[in-house]
Order: sequence, then structure tokens, then C-alpha cells
Amino acid sequence: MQDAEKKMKTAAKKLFDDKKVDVIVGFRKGSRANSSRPYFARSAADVENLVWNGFCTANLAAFLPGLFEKPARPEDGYKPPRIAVIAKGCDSRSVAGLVKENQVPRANVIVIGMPCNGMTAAVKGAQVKKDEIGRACLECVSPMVKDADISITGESRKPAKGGYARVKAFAAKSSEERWKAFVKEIAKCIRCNACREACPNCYCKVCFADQKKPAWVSPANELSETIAFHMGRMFHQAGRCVECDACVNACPMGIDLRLFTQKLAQDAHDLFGSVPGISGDEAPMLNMFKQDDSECFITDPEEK
Amino acid sequence: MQSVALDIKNLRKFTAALLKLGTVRGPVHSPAGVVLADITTQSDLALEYENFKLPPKREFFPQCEEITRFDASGVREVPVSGAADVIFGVRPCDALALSHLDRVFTDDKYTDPYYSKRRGAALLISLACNKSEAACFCTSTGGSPSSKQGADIIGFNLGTVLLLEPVTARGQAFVKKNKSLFRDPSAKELQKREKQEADVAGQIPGVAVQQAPAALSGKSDPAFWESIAETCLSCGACTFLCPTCHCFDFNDRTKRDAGSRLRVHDACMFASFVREASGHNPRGKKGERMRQRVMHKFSYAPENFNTVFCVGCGRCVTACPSNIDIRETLSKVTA
Amino acid sequence: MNTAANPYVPYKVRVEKVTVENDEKDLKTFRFAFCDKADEQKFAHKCGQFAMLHVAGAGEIPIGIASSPLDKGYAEFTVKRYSTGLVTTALHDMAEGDTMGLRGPLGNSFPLENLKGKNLLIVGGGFAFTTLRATIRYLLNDSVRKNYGTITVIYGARSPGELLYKQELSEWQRRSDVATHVTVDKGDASWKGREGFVPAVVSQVAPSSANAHCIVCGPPIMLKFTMPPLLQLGFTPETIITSQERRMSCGIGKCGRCNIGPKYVCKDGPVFTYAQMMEMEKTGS
Ligand SMILES: Cc1cc2nc3c(=O)[nH]c(=O)nc-3n(C[C@H](O)[C@H](O)[C@H](O)COP(=O)(O)OP(=O)(O)OC[C@H]3O[C@@H](n4cnc5c(N)ncnc54)[C@H](O)[C@@H]3O)c2cc1C
Ligand code: SF4
Ligand code: SF4
Ligand code: SF4
Ligand code: SF4
Ligand code: FES
Repeated sequence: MQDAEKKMKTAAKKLFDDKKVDVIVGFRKGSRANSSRPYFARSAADVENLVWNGFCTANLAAFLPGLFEKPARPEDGYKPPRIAVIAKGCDSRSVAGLVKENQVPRANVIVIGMPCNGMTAAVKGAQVKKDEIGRACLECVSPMVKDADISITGESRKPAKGGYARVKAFAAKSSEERWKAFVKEIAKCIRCNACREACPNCYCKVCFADQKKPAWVSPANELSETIAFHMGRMFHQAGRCVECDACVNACPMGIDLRLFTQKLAQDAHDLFGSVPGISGDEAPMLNMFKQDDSECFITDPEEK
Repeated sequence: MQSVALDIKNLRKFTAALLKLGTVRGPVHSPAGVVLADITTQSDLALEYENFKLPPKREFFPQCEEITRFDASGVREVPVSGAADVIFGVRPCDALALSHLDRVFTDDKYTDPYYSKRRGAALLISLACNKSEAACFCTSTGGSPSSKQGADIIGFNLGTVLLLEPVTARGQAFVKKNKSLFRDPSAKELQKREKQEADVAGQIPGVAVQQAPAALSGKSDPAFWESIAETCLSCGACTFLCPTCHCFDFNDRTKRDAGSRLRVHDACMFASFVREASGHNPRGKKGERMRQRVMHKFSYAPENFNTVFCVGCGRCVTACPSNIDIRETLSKVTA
Repeated sequence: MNTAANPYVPYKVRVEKVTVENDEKDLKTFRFAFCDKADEQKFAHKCGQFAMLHVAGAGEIPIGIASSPLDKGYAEFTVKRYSTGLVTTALHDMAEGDTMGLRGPLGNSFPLENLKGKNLLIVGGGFAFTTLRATIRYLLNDSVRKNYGTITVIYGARSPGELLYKQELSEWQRRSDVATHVTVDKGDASWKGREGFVPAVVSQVAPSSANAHCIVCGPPIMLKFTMPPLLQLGFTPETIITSQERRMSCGIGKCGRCNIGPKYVCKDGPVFTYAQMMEMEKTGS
């Protein structure tokens, strides 16, 4: 791990020295025990602050749309920056997804692929215990970085089989039980939007949940509105969610959003063969129609 | 005021006395950690816990409440509901935060009836901290693990004894009325309390809070604030969990010809917070929003209320998904 | 049930009259009558104050009071509709006879009491002219006019069709106790008046700053460019008075939305001197 950090820093420094990047999105040491946090290195001197360890949990791709955003005030000028990302498998899949959805110009991104051994779950903030690898990593099917421009070598996790056993067990319950479990989990939500903001896929300039005219959901944390918010957000993740747990780790209330987004991910895989950020170069799943697309989710949602 | 001692073996009797006052909310262990919840039987009250994840301001200023109802005939006030008669076990930082909110919700001109009625209804018994958490810095914000401001009575858990010190006349009256439950504390017990207070306060690292207001008045460089806010997600975790944040919005909810007006927490860190209908956004950048949050707590509030609006509870430190740490921000500001 | 104790409960008002003000038809003046006569007394306002207009189901918005405190029996507001705006759109759909909610008066006011005996320059641009109209109506009232020195009004809009209160403007122009200068950015075939932006007209008209105060309201860009000529004429940051707008929810200093630096526009404002404004903008946006 330390070795990978060293190599990464050398590569990062070279990028600045060669004037190839304006900013490197990576991690630096956190202020809480056992933590790292997102960091934008903007010069060769900043590279010293970069770290690579078992606490690099956030999905850094989430920062890319913002960094490429044109300023609201035209007088601020705009030239798309050149950005390098210190990427885990999941970050790289998200980058690929953002490129596919035209949110990020691939030519301006340098993916620095890291060997990933799995990251600590950040759910409890200061109370994170060492060596407690998060569920996302334990179940990760693709720890290897996709399409790295620079590959940092080192020991990394073997791909796991995904977390579908838990999803299957959940799906096997009666619809009343599932609904009850869903509502119980969602009822903890305080509508802080941290899940949405931490998610690389939630880049919409105006989220459906923030629209006022028409107002699809209100910001009130009344249960019905909160359910509508989460349903809306989750369904927007179908075929796009890379199961990185950025939302879960961001949530201050420790809500298990994973179970539900994962169900959608599983459906996307089982019904449409889509593994976001991995499967092929075709258009995003939801933008595509094929003659043989499954319709069972409409006609017979309980069966497949 | 003079403290009294409650032997823990009489805790149930004490709870019963509280229950006589009406609805009692206090610390209860749950799978999600300790929460403030209705105490229904005499045995529920927890005395050992770290602070609540959600700030107790929500007892008085719920995240979402119906304030008026309307139909063709006009708008009617919705009477205040859900007020507790006793709230037990609030930590001193959060009690201090309530005393700040009191001044926002009641000023020389307008009183917010929803907040102030609930606040008026509840006897607030705070519980001094026996240990600090990693992110605590109350001793730098005008509080301490045993500060009394905002509470009617403060309790000290000495293991086998709960010392109770009335802070207000109302607290005094409760103690007097139930004096059969209490005895005078021994000199040893008083010493133990003092030592405990000093020990816990001593564990808490100092943060550059008191220097902040003066330093902040010169911090208008946008680049400084952009650098602090770079990785900010513009979420509501820091403000929704903050015991002193009080921003809200109204929201009309209609069903056919009738509806109600809801008051809902809002946050200055949301990008849309001050965005106007024309599209103009006076705080369109993350740095501008971060500046607002930090300035409100450490510059505007001192100017308007003569106190910082941060009680050092550390919730924002723990909750921020990007680990933007207010303690570090303050040290950068004052550097 | 309108208890003074609950500052969030609006008075019930009835739309008495709706006047379309401009060619674009996105500016309408609403005249409201109080459904309960007693409420009118409670609504006694001062020039420069605002109120919250509540359209049930849509929401509530802050709008400057456009009628004079001496206009009895009604209150008037001129509102611009934004196609993206929930409340302004709903409000523009209101018809005469409809009822809605009105909360106020809120905020501070133009310090007219302290300006007695002074000469006044009133400068307005676009639809921010509303509270200035209230002020001019008030000042020109027979019982009030004698308390003040000269009154000069400079008002500009984008085009002739966008001028508010056209009828009153021409009445004022006919009066000798007020100098009324109306300008448009760009005239049309029938326009015989002045052309040019407000800041330039201020320099041309060049009213004396001796013993004078200036009240100026307009879009931010106009304010920015009007300050230099005003200062040049000898007005000072203390004698230039302006009104600010910010998004608002409560209107009473609780919801934390409307501050510029340490000041809350709803409670400490909306009226501030230019000196105060500069001070506020130093520490916040
Ligand atoms: C003191 C004061 C006086 C005003 N006087 C007038 C006036 O006389 N005539 C007039 O047409 N307009 C006036 N405005 C502006 C007016 O309040 C907004 O144009 C209006 O709120 C927009 O509402 P909406 O329904 O179109 O927007 P929505 O998009 O539905 O509004 C969303 C939210 O933003 C708020 N908001 C949006 N834009 C503004 C803004 N520019 N200022 C304040 N809040 C905003 C709304 O109140 C609402 O809460 C005044 C504002 C203030 C603060
Ligand atoms: S992060 Fe958690 S609490 Fe916040 S909106 Fe998402 S699910 Fe709700
Ligand atoms: S700013 Fe942070 S530490 Fe201070 S009171 Fe609020 S949540 Fe607690
Ligand atoms: S302005 Fe921001 S920091 Fe201040 S109370 Fe509101 S949400 Fe909290
Ligand atoms: S919790 Fe952190 S990321 Fe979210 S708004 Fe606050 S500072 Fe920004
Ligand atoms: S509008 Fe709520 S504080 Fe000003």
C-alpha cells in the first residue's frame, strides 16, 4: 500500500512537472481517526499531501462534473481543465459512465489506476474501526481499474461475486415485508441530500427533487415525500449505479441504501446484461431499446 | 444553586416524578444508537451514552411541521403539538445551543409561537458529560462538559449517585417539590463532581474559536473560501445536524381545495438556498456558501447576539462526507 | 383566527382590481381589500415596507407595498411574473374577487420622518419603482408635501411600454411641486420623452445635493452605475438610501435566508443607506 502510494506520488508529480494536468483529484489524510478525504492537488508541491491507504472510500468521480462545469458568470472565463483522478475500480467505472453520458470529456481526464485492497466503510465517521472493509468492497466485482491511463501496480483484491445473495434473500420476502423493511430504513432519512451529492451519477443541474414547477416531491421529511425522493433517485440509478457505496458512506444516518440500489443493479444485469462502467461501449442502458428487451418488470414484477 | 443527590437506586422513583409532569423524553438505547425518545415506563432512562446523533433542537423545532391550514374560507393557525413536558439527558453543548436559538426565535419584535411554546412547555434537565468524544470542542465555544446555560437543571452522573443542580427557578421548584427523593450530597460527592468536571474538560483540545470573529472580518478573499470549500458537496449534513442551525423554508401542500403550510428545515449549504426566480444566485459558488455558514456562526452571530453560534458539539466534524472540519477551517481563518 | 401572537398567519384579502402595467403583460398591479375591516388598521404601513403575499398551494413571496399609507381601504402591489416562478405565476392567474393571504407590513421603511425639511431626489429603475411610487404618492399628499423641500423624480424603464403607473407619471409631470424626469433606454415612434439610461440622466438633470437626500431603487446593475454620478453630485454614502432584495421565507428574521453579511434584509432592512450596504457586502453576499 505504501509502495503504491509512493509510485502514485511519483506519477502525480510527473504529471505536474510535464504540465499535463491542472488538478489531480485524490485523497489526503483526514482529520478524523483512521480517515482519508477527497483532496484536489493543484501543484507539484501539493502532491506531498496525497495519500493512498485503506480509507480512500469516497468515489472521486463525483467531483468531475463540478470541475468541468462552466461558471455561471461568463466573466469568469472557461477553459475545460485537465484533470487526473486517483481511481479505484469503482471510480474508474463511474468515470466511464460519466463519459458515456457526456458529462465528462474523456480527453481531459487522466485516470490513474490504483491497486485496490478494499476500503473501510465510512458510515460512522469518527467511530470507524480499523480494517473494517466496507460491504461495497467485500462484494466488489471489479476491483481492477478500467481504462487506466496510468497504472500503479501492486497487490489488489480479487473480484468477488457481488452481493446478490443478500438481494435475493430480500427479494424472496413477501411484498408487504419488503415494503415494511424499505419504509423502516427510509424513515431514518433527514433529507440532507448527502447521498445524492456524493453520488457520481447524481450530476443533474436541477435534481427532480429540487424542481418547484412542477414540484415532484417536497423537501419536507414527511415519510411519503421521503419515500418519493428515494424511489425517484434510486430508479434514476438503474443501469448506472456502480455499487461503490458513495451514498451509503455519505449518509449521516447510516441508512442502508445499498440493498435497494443493488436490487436495481441486479435487475439491470439479469434483464439487460448491463454492468455499468464495464459492459461495452454501447449507449447507457436506459437510453437504449432492443427488440428482445425484457418487459417482465412491467408485466410481472414478482417473477422473472 | 444548591445541588441535591439522587441515589441511583431511586432512579425509578425519580422517573415516576418526571412522568407526573406529563410527557417525558429522554435517552433510550436503540439499534441506531442512543436517541431521545418518549419514556413510558420508569426503567427506560439511560444514563451512559455518547451524545445523540440528531440535535435536540428538533424537539422544539421539528424538521417538518404543519403551521397553518387553508381552504376556501382562509388560513387557520395549527395549534402547537408534540410538546414534551420534560426533556431529560440533553448534553450541555446542546442546552447551550437552545439558549442561542431562544434568542433567534424570540426577539424584541416577533415570537415564533411553535418553537417558544414547546420550549416553554418543557422542563429541561441536562446531563453533564462523563467523557468527551473525538470531535468535541465545547470548551472553546463558551461552553464546557458541564455548562448550565439553557437547562433548568443539570445532572452529574457519579455512578451510584446522580447529582442534580437546579439552574433556573423552574428547576428549583421541581427539586423542592420532590425533595423527598433527594438528600444533601456529601462533601466527597461534591469533590468527585468537581474532579470529574475538570477531568473531562481537560480532555478536550482547544480550537481557535474566540479569535475567529475578529479574524473573519478580514477574510473576504473568494479564493480563500473556495479553497476551504473545494471538496464540499453542498449537502445538508453539517447544518441539519448542527444544534444551532435554524434555517427553514415554508412549503405548501395541497389536496384538492384545502391544504397546509409546512415549515421545513433548510440549509445555506444547498446550492438553491438563495437562488432567485430570475436565476440570479447571490451565493452561487461553494466558497460563497461556505463563507456564509462559517461567517454566520463565527462573525454575524457574535455581532448580533454577542456569542458564536457554535457550541463545539462536533457533529458537523463527524458527519461531513468530505471531512471538511470546522476546527481546521477556524485555524486557517485565524492563522 | 388572526392572532397577533402568530406572525405566520396572514390576513385574508380580496383581489379588488388587477391592472396590467406593461406591454409584455408580466407586470400587474393588484389592489387588495381586507376581508376583515379590522385588519386594515393592523396593516398600517410606512413607505418602503413590504409584505408577504400568500397564494394558497403555491407559496408566499415578499413584495414591496406600492400604495401610499394615506391610500385608505386598500393596499396595492405590483408584481413581475417569472415563467419559472411558482408564486408569481399563480398570483398573475388571480382574478378580481379571488381571496388570498397577506402578511405584514414587514421590514423597516424609508426614513421620511427624519428627512422633513430636506430636498429629495428619488431615482428608480424598472419594476423596483414600486415602493418609490408609494413614497411619491405619500409625499405629494397635500398634508405632507409642505414638510419637504424640492422633490425631483428620475424614473427609467427599458421601453415606453414597460413604464409603470403611466397615468400617474403624467399627472406628476403636470405638477409644479415635483420635477419628474421619465426616461427609457430606447424609445419608439410615439415616444417624445427622454432616451438614455438612468445613471446618465442623473448626471444630466444634476439635482443639487445641498440639504438633500437621495432614495434610489433599481436592479443591481443600475444601482452600481448610478452611485458614481450621485457621489459626484455631492451625495454621500450616508445620504443615499436604497432598498435591497433577497430571497425570503419568514420575513421576520428567523428563517436565516435573507442576510447580506450580518444584516437581515427582512428585519434590519429592506432599506439601507449606501454606506450600510457597502459595509454589509464587505463581510458577505
Ligand atoms: C423586500 C422585497 C421586495 C420586493 N418587491 C417586489 C415588488 O414590488 N415587485 C416584484 O415583482 N417583486 C418584488 N420582489 C421580488 C419577488 O419577491 C420575487 O420576484 C418573487 O419572490 C419571485 O417569486 P416566484 O414565485 O416567481 O419564484 P419561485 O421560483 O416560485 O420562488 C422560489 C422562492 O424564491 C423566492 N424568490 C425568488 N426570487 C426572489 C427575489 N428576487 N427576491 C426575493 N425572493 C425571491 C420566492 O419567494 C420563493 O420563496 C421583492 C423582493 C423583496 C425581498
Ligand atoms: S444521505 Fe441519508 S439522510 Fe441524507 S438524504 Fe440521503 S438517505 Fe437521507
Ligand atoms: S458548527 Fe458543528 S461543532 Fe459547531 S455546533 Fe454546529 S454541528 Fe456542532
Ligand atoms: S445560515 Fe447556514 S449556518 Fe446559519 S443557521 Fe442557517 S443553515 Fe446554519
Ligand atoms: S457536510 Fe461537508 S460536504 Fe456537506 S455541505 Fe457541509 S461541509 Fe459541505
Ligand atoms: S426572510 Fe427569514 S430571516 Fe429574513
